[in-house]
Amino acid sequence: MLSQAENELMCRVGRATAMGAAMRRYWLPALATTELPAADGDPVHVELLGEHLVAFRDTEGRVGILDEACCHRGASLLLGRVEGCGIRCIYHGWKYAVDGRVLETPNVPDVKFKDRIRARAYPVREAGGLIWTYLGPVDLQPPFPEWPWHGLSSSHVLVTAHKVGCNHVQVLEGLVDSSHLGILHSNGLRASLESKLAYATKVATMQFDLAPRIEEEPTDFGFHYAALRTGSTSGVTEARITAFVMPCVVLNPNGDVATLVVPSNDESSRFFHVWWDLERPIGEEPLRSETLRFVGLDDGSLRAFGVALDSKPATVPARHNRFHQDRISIRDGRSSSGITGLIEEDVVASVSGGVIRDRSKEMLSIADLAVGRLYRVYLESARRAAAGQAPVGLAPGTNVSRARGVNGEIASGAHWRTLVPGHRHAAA
Amino acid sequence: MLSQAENELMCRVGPGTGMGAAMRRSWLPALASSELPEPGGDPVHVELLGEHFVAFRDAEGRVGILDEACCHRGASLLLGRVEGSGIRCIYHGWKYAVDGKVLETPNVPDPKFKDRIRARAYPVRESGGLIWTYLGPADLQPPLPEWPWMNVEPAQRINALALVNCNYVQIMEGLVDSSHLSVLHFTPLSQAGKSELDFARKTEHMVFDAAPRIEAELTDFGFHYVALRDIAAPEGRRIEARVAAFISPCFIANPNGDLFFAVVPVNDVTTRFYHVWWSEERKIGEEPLRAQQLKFVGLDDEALTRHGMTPATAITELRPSRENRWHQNRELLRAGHFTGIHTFTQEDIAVTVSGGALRDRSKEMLSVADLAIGRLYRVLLNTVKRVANGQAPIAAEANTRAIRGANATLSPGVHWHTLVPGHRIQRGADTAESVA
Repeated sequence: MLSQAENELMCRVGRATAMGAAMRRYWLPALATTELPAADGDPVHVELLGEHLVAFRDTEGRVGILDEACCHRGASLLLGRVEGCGIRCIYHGWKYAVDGRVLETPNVPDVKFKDRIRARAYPVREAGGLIWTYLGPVDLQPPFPEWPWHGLSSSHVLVTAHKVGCNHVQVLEGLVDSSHLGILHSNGLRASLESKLAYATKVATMQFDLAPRIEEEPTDFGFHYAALRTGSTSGVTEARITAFVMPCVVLNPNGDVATLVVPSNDESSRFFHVWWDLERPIGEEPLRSETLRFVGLDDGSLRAFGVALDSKPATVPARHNRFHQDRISIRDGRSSSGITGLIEEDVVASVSGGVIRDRSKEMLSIADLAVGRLYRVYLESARRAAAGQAPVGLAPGTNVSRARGVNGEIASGAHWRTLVPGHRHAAA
Repeated sequence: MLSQAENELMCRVGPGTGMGAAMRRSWLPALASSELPEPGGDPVHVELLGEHFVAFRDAEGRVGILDEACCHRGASLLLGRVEGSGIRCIYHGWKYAVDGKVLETPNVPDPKFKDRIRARAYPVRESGGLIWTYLGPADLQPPLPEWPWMNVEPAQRINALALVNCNYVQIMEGLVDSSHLSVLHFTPLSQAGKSELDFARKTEHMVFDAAPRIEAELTDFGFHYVALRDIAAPEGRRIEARVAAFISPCFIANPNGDLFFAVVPVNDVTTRFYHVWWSEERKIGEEPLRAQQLKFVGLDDEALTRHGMTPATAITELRPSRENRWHQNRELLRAGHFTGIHTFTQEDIAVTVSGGALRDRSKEMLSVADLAIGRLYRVLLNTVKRVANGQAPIAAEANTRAIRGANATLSPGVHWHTLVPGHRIQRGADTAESVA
């Protein structure tokens, strides 16, 4: 539970907000590589932290992210022509390189004019199937983080993107909330017993203990927590450890999947999934489609549910369409949730509370320990940024590349922390 | 570039705003005559400067513009019955004449009651295919300006209307911005050589100089500016001059000389963009000339409807938006069309609307090509300041009959001022060159 003021502080990320200042201190994933497939292809609109940007891939394959509004007189560069190592505004023909350099201003006779001005461009890195950018002050730009899936060939990485029509914290809450798995997702977990997918076998046991013990600790990168489930006959304790890396990366206990949730604005989020597999070509067919279909991230499911990046407003899950829930399937016992797809179940849980839900009205329990920790890490980051300090995860010496999600059995008497030896407890 | 406060002052036109007060000092087109065709026909909703009105044509053909809300208990008169010489509210039957006189109050026994009250009606004039009204203080009402196209037969005139989902200043910027023509409109202009239309011939040369020299001057009606293009044609070099006039607060005479624009704020983020073409000689208002002209610039009903730019479609998903990519066809662009957008009007609207419904002018980078844009900002802000100080708005004293747009090939040694001899240029501190 938070006061309304704390809730606002945590959720709002526009330019003038404290959390917005904190978020602008990190590298953020802006879009998936697959959204900008070809050199000189059509430019793409990106909304990030309430700012409208345009992304394009130039003739040489470099990605540029610029303010959507042309720096001249504000026409959208989404209409622009991508040609000859730059993007050209169709209004007066001003042309920009990926780094914001002004290459041409054909309606201005003075040929040196272009050298005196610059479009607003943001640093870009493309790695592991995602295109990252940094919107903060130049002098505070942190090193680009290394993630476990970086450097793998594209056939061993699977990246997806969809949109969720609510504040990003609501989406993140669901990702550090092990106890909903056995309830909300009981349809999918039942199906997991019959599936040979790595993902399915790793989650299959969760349906047998609905009330895991939750333990959490702050770390230098954010926090980690364990859901501990002890088998009633075996007496063996299984730990599922999740790492939350500020400000938007959740390393799933499965150990081979990461979820990244980025605010498009205060009321809409972009949700990226990254699977990686050192042995199996998860990025290739048929594994790719099998994996996506199992969780409901295939194009058909996303589009039918109104959460594809290009879904029309009328199809977005909302009260008017009852969040696409099938009540008949609940009544006749075919479905527990009435929702098809694990991802879709999560979406409904996230958005049905309202676009920015009111956390002054909630009742957290011991099952929600990690959710409370998420609030505290966020609020601390907002307060630090407002005070001109580095938010959580950016202190010198912090190395987010050591963060891991892990699952495994722990011997009696051993602490689950031994499964994640690279994690460092937050300095007091 | 403007501060955010200046931008707000210039753009917002609702009741109680500085620009709203200035706008309410002018006669403004409320709707086209063609929107109220029949005496006794259905009343029409009119939104103007953020206020809601109802317009109707009584049995004798007179047009009335009243507050939409019935003066009795606020039901919309859009629901009303147009009967005889008035409009009757369906709620309690009160009936109003075009001038606001209350003709009947059938639910009130006292027959004299109606004579003691009056509905809020606005002065109306119908001229040049437009229905004009005046929303300002009665004691400050100016005469209706006279424009040359008001004195020609309907057959010698074309009226067209586009609804645009953005602030009015954004549209006007594009109309005093000669240098975008050869870039944004490159593809349709390059078709102009193949067309027999006057409009096409008058714009054809612009393909050849993308960086015209711009000169702008304040006048008693607002400002005028010239775009001077140095054309290296096979038959020799020449200077083409195109002079446009901006008449405060929202009128523009196009350099073609036979085209006039009224850019009227419906509210802060919606605009009615009226076009008038006229000819002293030719019956351009009759077919096939009318349809050819409208189709060439993209103002035919089919194009307007498809692009969500009619009163009926501008409130639907058809209206140009980021979601439909402002109707840009990227396939067409890749195939060689410069913009991938239908034609002149739709190209203008795409760049105008794509900057946002009310774009932020604290983030822009004006160049020498934008001198007239800076002038536009200055005139608008000046007229706001004058009205706020109790003075007459800019253009109040101007002789509209002398104002024109013009274009010509300039002979050596001839100044472009000779093309617009009736314009009264204002010299003084106010005219110092700057880009705003």
